[in-house]
Amino acid sequence: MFSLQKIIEGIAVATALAVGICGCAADEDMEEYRLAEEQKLTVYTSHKKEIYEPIIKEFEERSGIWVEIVPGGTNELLEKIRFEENGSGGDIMFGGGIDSLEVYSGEFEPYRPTQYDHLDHTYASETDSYTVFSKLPTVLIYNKKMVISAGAPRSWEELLSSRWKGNIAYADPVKSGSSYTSLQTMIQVLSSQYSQEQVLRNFSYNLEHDIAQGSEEAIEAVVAGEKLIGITYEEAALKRIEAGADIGVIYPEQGTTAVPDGCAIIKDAPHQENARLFMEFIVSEDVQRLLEDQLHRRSVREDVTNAEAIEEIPYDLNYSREHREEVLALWEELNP
Amino acid sequence: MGRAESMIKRSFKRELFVCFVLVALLPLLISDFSLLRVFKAKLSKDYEKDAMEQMKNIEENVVDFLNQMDRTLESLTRSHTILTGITETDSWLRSKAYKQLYEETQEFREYAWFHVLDLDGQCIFTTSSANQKTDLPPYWGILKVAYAHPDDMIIRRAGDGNASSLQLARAIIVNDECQGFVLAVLYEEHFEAILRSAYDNKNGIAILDRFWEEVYSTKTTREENLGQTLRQRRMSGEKIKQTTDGISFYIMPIEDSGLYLVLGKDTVFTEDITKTLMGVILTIALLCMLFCLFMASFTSEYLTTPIKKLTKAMSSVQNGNLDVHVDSKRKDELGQLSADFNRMTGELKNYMELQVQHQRELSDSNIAMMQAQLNPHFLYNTLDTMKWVGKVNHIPEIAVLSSDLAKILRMSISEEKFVRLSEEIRLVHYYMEIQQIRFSGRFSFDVELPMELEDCIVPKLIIQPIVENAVLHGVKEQDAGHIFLNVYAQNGRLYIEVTDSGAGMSEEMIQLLNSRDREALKGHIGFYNVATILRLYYGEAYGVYAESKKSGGTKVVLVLPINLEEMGQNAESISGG
Repeated sequence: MFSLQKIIEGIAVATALAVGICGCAADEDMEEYRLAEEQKLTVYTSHKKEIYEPIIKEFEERSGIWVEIVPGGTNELLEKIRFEENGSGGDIMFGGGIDSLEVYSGEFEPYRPTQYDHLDHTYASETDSYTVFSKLPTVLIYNKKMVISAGAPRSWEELLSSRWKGNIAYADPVKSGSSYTSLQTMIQVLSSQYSQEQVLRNFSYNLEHDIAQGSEEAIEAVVAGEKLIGITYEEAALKRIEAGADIGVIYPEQGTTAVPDGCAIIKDAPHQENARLFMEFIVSEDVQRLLEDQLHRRSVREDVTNAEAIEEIPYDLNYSREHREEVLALWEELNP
Repeated sequence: MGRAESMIKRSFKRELFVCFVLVALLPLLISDFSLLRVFKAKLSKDYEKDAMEQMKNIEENVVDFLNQMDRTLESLTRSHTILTGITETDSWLRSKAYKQLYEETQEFREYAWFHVLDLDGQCIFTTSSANQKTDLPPYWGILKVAYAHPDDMIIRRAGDGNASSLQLARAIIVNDECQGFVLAVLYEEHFEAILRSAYDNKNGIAILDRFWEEVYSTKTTREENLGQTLRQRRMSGEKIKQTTDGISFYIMPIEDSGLYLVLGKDTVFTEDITKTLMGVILTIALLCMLFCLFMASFTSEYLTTPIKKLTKAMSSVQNGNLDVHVDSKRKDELGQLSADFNRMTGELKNYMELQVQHQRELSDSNIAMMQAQLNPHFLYNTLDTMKWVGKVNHIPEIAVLSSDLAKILRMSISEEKFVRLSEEIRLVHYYMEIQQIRFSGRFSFDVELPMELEDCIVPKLIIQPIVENAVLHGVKEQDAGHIFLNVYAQNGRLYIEVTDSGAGMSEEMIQLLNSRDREALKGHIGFYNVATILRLYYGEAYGVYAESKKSGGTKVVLVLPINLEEMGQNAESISGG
């Protein structure tokens, strides 16, 4: 009488026809707004928004390249790069301490920017897998209301003496990268007088187990007067001062370390050319000036240094990396 | 699917239902959906037209405003008073310059804040009432571009925190040397003032910069986060308009300003309307479906009821009930079928009745025959004794009589119903031997039997009664009578003629004999029996016929089919039939 198969086919055709009528009506896409691949760049960044936003915006305006920003934590992004298939993800990693970038150097495409000669080579990558971007000196801060300028700490040793016992704001180095850097700074600066263990024991003793959970919390403790002095990095302190905090910044007499963060082109980046342009841009004079003028960071360019010069002590990256577990293990033992 | 198909095909009702559903639902759904689509397309066309008009209007406003701003900023850059305000630190000159700035920007202060910056980007004067810091690095952003392009007004989006703004800047050039910048900044409230009457405020609009970052947006579009979404889509190469969008929007560049205008309208068919329409369509479809179900069951009932009745009647017939009658008042093919069925059963019933009657008649003859076979063994033995008594006492007639009689008796009481023609004729011989003794040989008897017909199978004892008739009613009274038995085949039939030389029969008698009337033939029961036996065995075409010969005497003819088959089989086939 009839074949069910045929009828079902008929229904399918008819339905497709009915749906088809709509299909053409709604499907006018705006071809003229299609972006060519040469116009794109994907930036992985662990910087804060206030850092990357003006820089990337300016890069877009100057180059005409549309930048897709993928923000995240340093380690999170580096792991992402490691696990992403080559050429399928981002183009460039913008941010992250160079010690971290060094660990992942195999994931990066070596590149030496044309401005290389103007840059500080202290922490330059041997293989050019990353390029330094800005310096973040470790500094001491004090509450200006409670500590007179003349009485503020002057040197690293003071942190180990009983003078500031119970009055030091410090973030847990297990949780905060910058805090670990300052702990290492202390160990390395004082290595001629104290052993690593002595530094850790004396310092822990002075903290009286009152340890902040993060850098922000440590600064706030000083701002609020809960602690008299603190250890943090320069940018954080200056930013807080600009926002109206009555705290002072001290660069210790022996000097301090200024470990830079960096930027690295990802291997087989889909927009290799644009990534290079971006790299050139971030070490350009304009960006480096902006770092110093507006963003409270120190330039890695030797020809752009408005900020007050500081005594820089080289930071032994290898030592820091090799002793990390040992130091943190002892730390946790001393500060349970 | 095969299972579903066979499921459907197994029932007439389901087949009908599927057909009805297809016929009713498919066109309905197709037309509904097409209508919906066409309606939608048309509506969105109108919508787009309306949106485009509004956008043109907005664009005109913005372009107009930017041109005026360009002129104003240019005149500021050319103002000597303002220049001296930058270069000189004298406070009197500065306040003069400040006054100048106020006067020049009189009519636009509602729409923007004006700043005058020195070469280092430090703000010297501002019309801003709020104490906003508008220092800008001259090596960066808009000032760098303004410096590089002193003849143009530079337009840039600026984002500080969550509030974005539009900056317009022009460099102050004196003797080919840049002395500073004039800067106008437009915030949300300024855009609102500029666009106040340019569009239907039911719609949301947004102004995007070259990289599709939001410069300004009305509240609704901001809530939708339209700018960011569009940028994201453009970056990732997705479609800019997507079907899942809650609103429909239109994008156009604002002349050569590098800005884009986006207008968002509520979608023509909101989710809600579409849902309602779909609901209506589906409800109608459901009703259709129910109606189809009802119609299918009604129609199938209408069609199958007589068929079911017929089936039932037929099975009743199969069980032997021929009295069934299918009632149908219908005049269509099915009514016809019922009527035909009734006619068929009627005829079948008649036929059956006829059969039964035949059977009954046959039984009657049998009973009569059996009654005639009373105690045959005793008779037989007696006859045998008589034969021996005759022989012992040298009375050969008695021996012959009793022997012949015994043979006749034996044959007549045998179980067999059919015999060979030759045997039947031998029996007639025995009978005639007796009669000749009885009547002292006053008549002669001859038989003409062709050899090939000797083996014909005939019912037994069909010739003897006829011959007996011929003896009793024909030649008995004569001195030299003659009986002639002639057997021949003609046209596939077997004819057995018994002719006597007697007085013949009256015409009435002949008619009586041929009439087959049992009552009338009471006195000629032999004749009647033979006629009946032949008719019952072989049908109406066969039987016994009598006629008077002109030369005197009577001729009786038995007409039978020629049957040369084996006796056993023959008997069976006949009794079976």
